[in-house]
Amino acid sequence: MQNTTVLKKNPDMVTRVIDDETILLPIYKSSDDISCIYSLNKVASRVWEAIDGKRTVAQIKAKVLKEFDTTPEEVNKELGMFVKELKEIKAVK
Amino acid sequence: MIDMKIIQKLKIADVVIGLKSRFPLEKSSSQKRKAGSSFTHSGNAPERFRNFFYHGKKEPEITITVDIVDKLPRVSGAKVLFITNHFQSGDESWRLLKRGNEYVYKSPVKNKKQVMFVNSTFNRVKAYLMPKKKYFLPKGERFYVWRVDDIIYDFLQVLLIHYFALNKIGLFVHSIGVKDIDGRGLLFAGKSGAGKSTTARLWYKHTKAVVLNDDRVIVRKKGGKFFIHGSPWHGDFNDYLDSRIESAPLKKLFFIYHALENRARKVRQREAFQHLYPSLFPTFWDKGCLGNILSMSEQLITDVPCFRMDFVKKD
Repeated sequence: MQNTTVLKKNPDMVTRVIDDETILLPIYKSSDDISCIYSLNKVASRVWEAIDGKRTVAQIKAKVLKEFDTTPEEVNKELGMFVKELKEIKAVK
Repeated sequence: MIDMKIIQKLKIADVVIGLKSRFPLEKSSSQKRKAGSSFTHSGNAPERFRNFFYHGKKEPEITITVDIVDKLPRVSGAKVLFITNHFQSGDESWRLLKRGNEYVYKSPVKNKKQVMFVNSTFNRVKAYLMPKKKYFLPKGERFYVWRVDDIIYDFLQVLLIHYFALNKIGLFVHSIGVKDIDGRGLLFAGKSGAGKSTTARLWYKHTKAVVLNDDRVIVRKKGGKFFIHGSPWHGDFNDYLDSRIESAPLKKLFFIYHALENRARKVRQREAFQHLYPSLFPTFWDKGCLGNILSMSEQLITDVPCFRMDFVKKD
């Protein structure tokens, strides 16, 4: 994933913040596809919030580094894994 | 166009549904023996639906007009929104389509092939059923009869789930609803196999509480308070037939699980939502309605104390 990449949320995703935790709910097309809901922790919730179709990956990383006590290496690794998961469930493109 | 009268009304969770048709409802076999005619307007409905027949004056909020045809109308140019397959056989049970502002419900199930055209507010339905039984008049003319359960199972459930969600007035919860001796409503939510029917039996056998339903309970908010209502769709436990039209103000919500020891603990909103969500009936075919279901669920777990209840399964 390149730092210049701009991520876009899938508009078919329904989200809710419950008790500081973001819940992601995909829109399924068949009862066979229904698997589970996705619940994001505090850092992941901030990343999800920051994905707005305008910010680049580099800008999101900078935001996370500023708001949380973490290192650039850790942000690189964790963000990469998280975005991969979001792409797998078609939450972002 | 023939002006059809309402021939049967149903009342489910305070919503009155009117059924119209130019064809009569089939009469039960016991009624047939007594009367000269083979048909009636009271219908040959399974016992579980009869308590929901409504004879009051309230006008229906939802009207379903039933037609019986030899060939179902073709639906072309519609977009498939959602398909439900049978959880065991994998065969299609029903699908929901959209064409313009109109929704189309189709069931390909053998002996239950039907197509329903539903308006955008889910309160007007034109239902087309295939004939199951035909009768001949003395002159050789044939005509058809139909049954209330042709509509109730599964179509009416899908219709009401959407109608409640669209208007933000109620939720279907996979749960047991109990009204205790003080009139307080208790809801026990759980997946299939979590022990809902067993719990319902225990309440019925060992207490004077009223079991509203052991599988699908409708939760509605009125005057700032949540109420539980029985529904015609139930599980294995049938012994509460006379009571399930009742409702009760909801006081506690339990999430039930089989475990190695009996215990209950209060859970916070975040955990409560994780337990509640699998027991809901999400309208995946409509993002707005799905959002309403989530909002109502959030209100429910905020307003009503929630507990996780573990219990030991004993044969």
